[in-house]
Amino acid sequence: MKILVAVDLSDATETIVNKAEEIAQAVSAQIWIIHVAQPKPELLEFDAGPQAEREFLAKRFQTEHAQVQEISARLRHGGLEATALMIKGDTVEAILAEASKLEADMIVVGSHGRGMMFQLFVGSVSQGILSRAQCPVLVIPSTYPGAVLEKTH
Amino acid sequence: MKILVAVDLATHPATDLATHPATHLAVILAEATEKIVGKVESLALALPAEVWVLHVALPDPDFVGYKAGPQSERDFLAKKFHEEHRQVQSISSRLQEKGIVATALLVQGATVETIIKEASKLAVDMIVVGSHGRGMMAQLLIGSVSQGVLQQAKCPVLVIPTNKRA
Repeated sequence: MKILVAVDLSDATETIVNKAEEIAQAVSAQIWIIHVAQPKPELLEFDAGPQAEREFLAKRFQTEHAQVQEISARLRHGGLEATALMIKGDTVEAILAEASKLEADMIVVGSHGRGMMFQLFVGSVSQGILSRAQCPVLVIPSTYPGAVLEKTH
Repeated sequence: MKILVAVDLATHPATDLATHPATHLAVILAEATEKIVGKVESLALALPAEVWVLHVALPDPDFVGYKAGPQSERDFLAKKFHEEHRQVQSISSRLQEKGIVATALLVQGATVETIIKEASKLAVDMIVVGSHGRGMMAQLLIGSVSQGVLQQAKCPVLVIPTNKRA
């Protein structure tokens, strides 16, 4: 079994990775951690010139790359066959393209994405994936760790 | 691990009369349910997990405009309820035959609210739904039930694609 885990490196990422790890361990699945880097800066209105902008993006790309590698290293340490993927492009398109290339049996995403659609209940990324994925999609709610804490009260 | 699977069994008079012959719709539903149950079966065996198969029956007649009197309406609903009960039981026995601990649940109520309520009552670790239901919203990107469950669920939700395009 092959599991593709889409992470945005936000606070929710750890929860998502942990859940995916749990399932991957149980079904002895191969796991791919994918992070899609934005091709353009999110804020278009800042004053910095093109050089500073390029440096900023390059630096961010490096940081994200290191974070994704770190997640996959942690999973490998736990005995899983894990691979880090870093792709530039449109988030939904890139995730779907990788899922079909890898013939993933499951895509794991968080329920809330970043960006303009943040105010919606289901993030635009998970929405886009759900409507077009050819394989099952596991959606982890961003409130999930909170729900676990509630139970202990 | 505990899994709650929401299956969609009933035919829907309001839509099937309008757009589909009843038999055609039954075939579409059977395929979608089959996909969902098949996935759950392999997942539940691998994890391993205990499974609850939930079908939410509508509390009221689907369509209030028809002329039939209360008695025949009651008969119709009773028959429909009985058929749904039989189907949800047969799904659960099929899982049991594979060695999975499975329980059939038939609950009357509003679909999304009932799924969420049962999920929290059973403290499940995962809810499984199909991506597309039937009815007026079938043409949308995601079915209204899976959408509602995704919005309100406190646990991970596995959405199985059941649309024709997938």
